[in-house]
Amino acid sequence: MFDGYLSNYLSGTLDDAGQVELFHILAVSDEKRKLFNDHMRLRSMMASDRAMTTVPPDVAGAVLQSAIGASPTVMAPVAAATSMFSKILMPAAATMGMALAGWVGFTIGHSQQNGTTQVAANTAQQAVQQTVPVASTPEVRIQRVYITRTVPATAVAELPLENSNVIAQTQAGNVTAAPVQAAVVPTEEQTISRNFTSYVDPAPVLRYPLVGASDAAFTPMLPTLTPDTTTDEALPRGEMEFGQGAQLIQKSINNSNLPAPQPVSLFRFRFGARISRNVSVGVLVGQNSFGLKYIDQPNNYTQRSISQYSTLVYAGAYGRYSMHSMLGVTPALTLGIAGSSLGPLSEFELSAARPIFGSVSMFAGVHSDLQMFKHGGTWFSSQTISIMAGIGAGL
Amino acid sequence: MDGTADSLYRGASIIVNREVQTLSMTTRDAVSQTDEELFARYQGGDHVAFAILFERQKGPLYTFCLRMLGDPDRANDAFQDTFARVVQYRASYQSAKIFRGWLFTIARNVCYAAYGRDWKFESLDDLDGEQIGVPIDNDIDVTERELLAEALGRLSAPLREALLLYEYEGFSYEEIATMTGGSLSAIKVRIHRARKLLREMLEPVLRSRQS
Repeated sequence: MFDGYLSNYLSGTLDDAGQVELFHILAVSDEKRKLFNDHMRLRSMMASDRAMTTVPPDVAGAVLQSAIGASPTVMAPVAAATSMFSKILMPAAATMGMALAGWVGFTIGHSQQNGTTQVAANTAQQAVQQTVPVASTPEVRIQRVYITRTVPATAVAELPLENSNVIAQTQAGNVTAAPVQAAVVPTEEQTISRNFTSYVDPAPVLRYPLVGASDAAFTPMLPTLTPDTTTDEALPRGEMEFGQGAQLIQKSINNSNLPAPQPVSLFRFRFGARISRNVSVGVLVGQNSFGLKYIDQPNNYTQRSISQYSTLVYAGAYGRYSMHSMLGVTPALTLGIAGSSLGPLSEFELSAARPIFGSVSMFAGVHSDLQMFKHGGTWFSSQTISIMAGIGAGL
Repeated sequence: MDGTADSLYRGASIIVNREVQTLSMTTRDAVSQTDEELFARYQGGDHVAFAILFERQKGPLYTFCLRMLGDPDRANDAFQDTFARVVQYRASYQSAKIFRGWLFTIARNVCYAAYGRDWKFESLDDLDGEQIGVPIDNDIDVTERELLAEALGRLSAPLREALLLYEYEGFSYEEIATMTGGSLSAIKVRIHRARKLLREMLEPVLRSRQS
């Protein structure tokens, strides 16, 4: 009797009345209960055994090769659970590595320029001239600011020769103007000796006659400053960029020889606008490859772990926060929410951009996608981490 | 279920004959693809369909071969022979049949052929005390999976295949009866006896797990 109940219960064919009988027997008999527990554990062992058995990759590859002439490539983004090292340390190390490389490169690139700027700045400091406070602006834009004023000839004549120059320089947020060259004109030899090659004044204009007793009697004439298109004064400003990336962590799932996507599988296009000094929003379209692993339960007694690869196209929106530039490089943090044919997707990107010409800049960074997908009423997820580079342009 | 697995293949690329062929079926198409439909596409020359089918079935089929034969080398051979026969006899497959049933019937035949006359077809009556009720060595270094594999190997082939097809592969009694040529009641009895014997052989392991 008990064996019949037990067999039908394990087969899923025991009716309600039989279950009542079975559970009654189990409740009153330790021996039967142990027997029942043994069978349940045996089933658990078999399920574990089935789940843990994998096909040797070379065997599976040989079958595919002989059957359809396929050469399976074992390369896939991460789908299985990744270690803490993979999740945190590797991306962090990659980011720090890129940042260090960028810092070294840009520091070397700036070294000569800094030297020249320093000479000019020192010269400006030596000048006894009026200073006009202006907003602190990056030095790449400082050279666009010209301040012209007139200086009494007598005053100018009293200046030491080395201070009579027409350099307009800025330091610590101030523009120092010393524009008049009419009274004392340095000789060619003197000009060369001051190393003013980094800046050449565009022919100063004397707006007023050189009259008056001192500098205090004159009000500097400030030119009208037109909005600089490289600053937020021109907002909103469109931006577009294209990026391409490769999987940073290439790991097969379950030692699988599934036909996998190509290593460079991340493509992303963004189109948006800046809504404030640091924040941009817009839309995005991208493509990435995912290794998807999920559990399937065809019946009450079988549980299967299925691994698949998928290359998905997604579209959505993004928001970006650009940080302050450092050594000509602008770090940015981008978050995006999108949808693919399998479900919602979020992306996270830490990048650094540097202008290369005009409003065009190049960038590089670390990109991570998290794809959610649903199977059998249960949500699963797959994550990818990629390094990527691309080009962007302001519109 | 399997259709959903197909959807995950959307856009996947596979190198076939050194040329990249892109799987172009849409998600909606892929979801509706059953094993039978995929194999029909393979019969029509779609190699990608075969690749998908292979990915679906390779794990269960390899497990079946491994536990039936008890030896990885023989399991590898049987696994490859099975798919070789699938390719060879693909034209003889009729879509009215359940593909998995057809596939595992081939695998079963391959496994039987692998052992040939050496296979032990002893009935339960032939099993002596060394095979029934005597716990297998409970070596501390031997994992539970190895103990289970050893216990399965001690079952007679009919009991083993019935249990594997039912517990491991999820076939119904009726499907197993069709695949093995046995009666429905005989299959039920085999599975019941196989469970009972396994439990007796693994009782120390199961009890230690319980404790």
